[in-house]
Amino acid sequence: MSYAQGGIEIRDAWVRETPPGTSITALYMTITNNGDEDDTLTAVSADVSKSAEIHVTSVNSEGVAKMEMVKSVDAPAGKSVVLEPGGMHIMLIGLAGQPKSGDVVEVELEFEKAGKIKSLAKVQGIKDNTQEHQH
Amino acid sequence: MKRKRIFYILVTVLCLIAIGWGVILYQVFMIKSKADYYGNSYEREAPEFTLTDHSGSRVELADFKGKAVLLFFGYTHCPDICPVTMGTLNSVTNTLGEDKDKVQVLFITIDPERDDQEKLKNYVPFFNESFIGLTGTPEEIDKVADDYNAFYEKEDMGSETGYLMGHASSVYLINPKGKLVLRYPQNRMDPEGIAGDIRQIL
Repeated sequence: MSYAQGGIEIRDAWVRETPPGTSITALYMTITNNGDEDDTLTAVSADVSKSAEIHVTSVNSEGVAKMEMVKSVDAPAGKSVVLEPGGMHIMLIGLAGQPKSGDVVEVELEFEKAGKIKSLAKVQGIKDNTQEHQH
Repeated sequence: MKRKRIFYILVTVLCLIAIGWGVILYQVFMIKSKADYYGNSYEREAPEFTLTDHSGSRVELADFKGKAVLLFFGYTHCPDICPVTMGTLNSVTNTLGEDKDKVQVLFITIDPERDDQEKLKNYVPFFNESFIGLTGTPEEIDKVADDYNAFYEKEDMGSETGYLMGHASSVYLINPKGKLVLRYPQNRMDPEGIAGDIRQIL
């Protein structure tokens, strides 16, 4: 599934299924800027969560994993940015219910130039073998 | 007299040569074995611990002697690395097939403030019914993380989640005799590789 507006294309958006009692999960996708002007993702919201934040996971040489919250994501002209497990992701916080494998989540991404783009994200199960091979 | 002496010397020399070869072959065998593991070798006695499992019982590491143990330190407010790792460990279990009953996956929370027994009861078995979640008092968690050199700290970055945790994200493999033998950092998380190592140490 892909959604485009103003040069920005959102592809393969997916959300990880949550164990019971969990109030946060991760949203991943590929953002492609087909236009010739640089753009920036400045805000995200999803229908299933109270708020959404952009985080970058990193694991240092000692094996310590940390997340860093960032305010925006650059979408340079002509390039793609991939949000994937172990890297950048959008943290959905304050979930209203537990997204289950097969559900579809509506997300809205706000870009500085392209404006608000709506996209649908599929919920993938933890046990789905496909989720770690998304590109 | 002289013949007997020569004979004894000969026997001694032959024995020494045999021992020498034995040592060499043993070393070669050991080096070959080490090189054949997918994970990173990490040999020492696995430190004992007593924690509370997700059903409320007190358990010790010794309770799992006779099984291989896969140990992971994480927390349930972790949206990325922890679910991914738990999913990988589930894949490892499935890959093992019949051998999976000889392996126990333990998830130890480094966020005991939020991850109580109830939270873990909902979270851990979701990845696999046989997995056990462990929590404890902040002191108990501090001790086990320290014993395993598993770093963890609270990170307050103004996130709506409250606080997040930086934490050691490697998986430890303990053999059925209670010895820590291998470690899997995040870049060594291939289920086939891990399952292959487990079959070797069982």
